Amino acid sequence: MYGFHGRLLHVDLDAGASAWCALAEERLRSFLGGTGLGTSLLHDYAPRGVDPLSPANPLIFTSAPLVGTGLTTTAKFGVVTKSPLTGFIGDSLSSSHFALELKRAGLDAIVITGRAAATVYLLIDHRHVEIRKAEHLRGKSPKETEAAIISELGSAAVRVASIGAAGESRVRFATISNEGRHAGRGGAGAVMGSKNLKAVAVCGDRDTRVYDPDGVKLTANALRRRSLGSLTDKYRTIGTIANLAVFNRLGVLPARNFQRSTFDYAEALSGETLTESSFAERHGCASCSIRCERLFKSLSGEAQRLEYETLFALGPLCGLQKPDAVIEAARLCDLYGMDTISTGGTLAWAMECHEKELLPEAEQFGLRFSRPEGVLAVIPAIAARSGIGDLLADGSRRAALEIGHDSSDWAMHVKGLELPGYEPRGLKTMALGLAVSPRGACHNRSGAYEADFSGEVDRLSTDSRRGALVAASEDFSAVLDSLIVCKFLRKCFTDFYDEAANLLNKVAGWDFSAADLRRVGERILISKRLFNEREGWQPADDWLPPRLLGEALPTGVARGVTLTGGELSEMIGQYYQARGLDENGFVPARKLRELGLPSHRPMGDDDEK
Amino acid sequence: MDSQTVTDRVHCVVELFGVARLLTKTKTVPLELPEGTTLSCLVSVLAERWPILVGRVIGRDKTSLVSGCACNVNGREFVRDPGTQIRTGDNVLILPADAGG
Repeated sequence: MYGFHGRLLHVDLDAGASAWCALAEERLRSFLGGTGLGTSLLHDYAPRGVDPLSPANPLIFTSAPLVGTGLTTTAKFGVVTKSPLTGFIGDSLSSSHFALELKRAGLDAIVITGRAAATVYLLIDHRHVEIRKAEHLRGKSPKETEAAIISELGSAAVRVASIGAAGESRVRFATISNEGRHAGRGGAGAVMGSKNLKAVAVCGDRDTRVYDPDGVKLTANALRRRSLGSLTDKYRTIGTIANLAVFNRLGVLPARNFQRSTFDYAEALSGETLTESSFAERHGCASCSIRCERLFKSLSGEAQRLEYETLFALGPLCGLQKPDAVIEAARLCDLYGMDTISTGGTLAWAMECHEKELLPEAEQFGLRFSRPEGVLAVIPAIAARSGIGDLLADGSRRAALEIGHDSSDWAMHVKGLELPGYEPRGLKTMALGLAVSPRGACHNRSGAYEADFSGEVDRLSTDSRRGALVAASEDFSAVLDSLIVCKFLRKCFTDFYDEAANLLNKVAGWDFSAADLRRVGERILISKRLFNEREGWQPADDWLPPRLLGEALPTGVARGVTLTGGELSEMIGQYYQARGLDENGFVPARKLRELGLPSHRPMGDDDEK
Repeated sequence: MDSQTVTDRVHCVVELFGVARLLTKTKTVPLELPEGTTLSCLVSVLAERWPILVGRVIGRDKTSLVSGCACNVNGREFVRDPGTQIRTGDNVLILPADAGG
């Protein structure tokens, strides 16, 4: 087999045992790797209705065909599980050296089930698998954990993905982190913590065999050249934080828990200002020529990575005005291993509750909009689940249900996942993308905002094209996330499906056409919806928070623009139609047949070896 | 300058974001341009004023933006047609084409 190793490792922490299993090539052709393979395995390994924080919920790490081939931006891995935040599929990506080493360990996936009796870490050293004691690592940050494991193993070749205190406390938006990167959204870190699994350490020596090494090298060289052109200049020069000033100007920068769509202090927090005033270092993932990571000077003296979503969620969304405060809040989230978007979203919800005198416990922390001391005090409390932190550690949806009154009206989430920094009322295609995404309010599993920012559609109004646009964008993202290719390279392809199919054929020795690859994207997306259906998805789950449908855009160039429930409902109907779903959004049997998917049954024909 | 001359000119403001702002160290620039000015004419004026933008923000032809940059008028409408007319009172935003974050 080329491009893959054709096997997975199943680790049962209850039994303290592991087994190598063959992965059928048919499954890999149907789902590729990354989030696609993870989705397929989740169907098989997650019992129907499983509690996400129970031992039976599988935590799945996946590699992918392009990993380890030398192609720029492909050093990535997937983490797939049933999300403790949403109760639906949770799929995240992280990147860099851990991804390369995972593949060099000679596997395409690790499936971890069960729960260890005490804290452990998993070591995969070539073909040797060992579950090692890790009580001494409890409470350590991901960065400290990495260093401690590498030190005790005495091997610089080992790479580590781990959880921080938040994962140990089962904070429902805890991350799994490696080398300063994070599988961030959906709370995979809490699932790992629930298994008493502190870390996964891997090393190996199995290079990826590709079918046509010269052809792959030629394509890799071409893509590397293109990756250094104007299409990625934003990422190379400023990073994703370049979005902030633009979004503010366009009136789509959510602030103060979506009560405003611009931020008066955006200039001080803009990517341009931060680059000129606080820039410390530029980093990149392994095998990446774009090198988008920007680190900034923090008050503690450590250089701190900052992305747009972190900047938005801990800055304008919470009303924080000063870069130092936002950078420090980001540092704390990384220290404890918490998703910055959900952290910011949940804090902003709590601030608004406090403003409305519904959360008196917030007073002792000074948790109010614009007050950094409240944010900096509550983040550690969330990680430790102490005091008000215990409530907020469950995310805004659950916290709102607990507090009651009307606080669900300003809990800004979809399916329980807090909204990213794209104001849906001013980005109508994105509004639909956020509402229907299988993993909840997500800016990564579809790039629906691209249509809004392109001039291809009027971002401030709706029309009949949005359903098809969102469906196509989701399929595209599913393929990118399963090959895996970083989204920042996506525009560097001339004809993506054609070029990517050719590339995949050179790697795997297959005969995929562009249409075949498109079909894989659709199959993955439908499989995600199918998993959600199995876990109780209902049409009402594809919806947006009441605030977005009941209040006009409050500030900025698009002030007064609305998104009504009727408009959203119409777009959702168009989306279901474009997807070939039934009128309520369920996957019909004919769609399953068309995509070669079984109905809610195990897929593939893998065997224990 | 008589009143006829005044009405024959287009007064607009260009707002620079991202790489364009960093390169020029400028956020906004008011421009006075001939009536009938199009987006490509405006881009040419910017290229003349800031040659450093050519290749990074403005294409080598000096009349269009590179593929990594986009143009928005008044924060409302994204425009791609180089023949788009610029009118008095317009704010022309030059920004990164990719909104990924």
